[in-house]
Amino acid sequence: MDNQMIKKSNNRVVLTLLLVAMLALVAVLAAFWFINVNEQQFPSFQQRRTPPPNFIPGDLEYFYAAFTIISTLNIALLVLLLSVYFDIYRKTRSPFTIGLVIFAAAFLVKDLTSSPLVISLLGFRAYGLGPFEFLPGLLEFFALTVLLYLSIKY
Amino acid sequence: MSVNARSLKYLLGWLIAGTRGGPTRAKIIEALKESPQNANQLATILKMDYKTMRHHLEVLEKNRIITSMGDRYGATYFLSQMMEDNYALFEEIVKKIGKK
Repeated sequence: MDNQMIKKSNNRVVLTLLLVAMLALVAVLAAFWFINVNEQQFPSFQQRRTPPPNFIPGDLEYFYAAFTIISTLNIALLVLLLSVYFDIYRKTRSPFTIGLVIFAAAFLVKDLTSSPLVISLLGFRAYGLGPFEFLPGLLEFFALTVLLYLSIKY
Repeated sequence: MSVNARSLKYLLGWLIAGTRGGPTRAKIIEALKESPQNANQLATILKMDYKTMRHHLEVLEKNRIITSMGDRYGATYFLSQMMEDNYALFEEIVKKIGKK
């Protein structure tokens, strides 16, 4: 029993350290970003960005259109998944479900920040990635579909 | 915690706290711990639709939480050996469940 408790607290320490390390990384990146923006005296995003060259081999608008659709679908799937998990959490108050809620919420934020719609609203534009723009999104779509299917069917 | 218990704990967590039918399944496991029963008896005790009960029993059996004996419709269900051996894990998960 004592051994188990020690193991548990060890796990907690490792998790906390991991979290602190991640937060530190984010803080450093944010500091760099802030310095960079300050140096340029807050020019608009468009001014800061070099415009894309007219032609990049292998880069087709099609990929970006496809990813816009897939990314919107992913966001919809995650909203559904989050609502299912939240509903289970209300009924069970289980720590396992908190993990699932955090997992789905993190993915939702990730998908919102990588959505071409949101990116273009913030004045940025992705280019030069070719098919790699939408392939990760497509795979994520499959993964989320499986997860949602399992959560609802079972 | 042995490797087997760890996977069972995860499986139970998923089946009870990770899917929509989870809270119902917890009640079924508790009822079967008290005494082995068939689907009809379980449906009556837990005041549930017979078809829903069959669905949950199938899920639990597929995941080797329970086993059955007898023909398909009159089959008696009881907890699997793995589940009996590790019932404390189930209690631990259910204990954290405030309102079922």
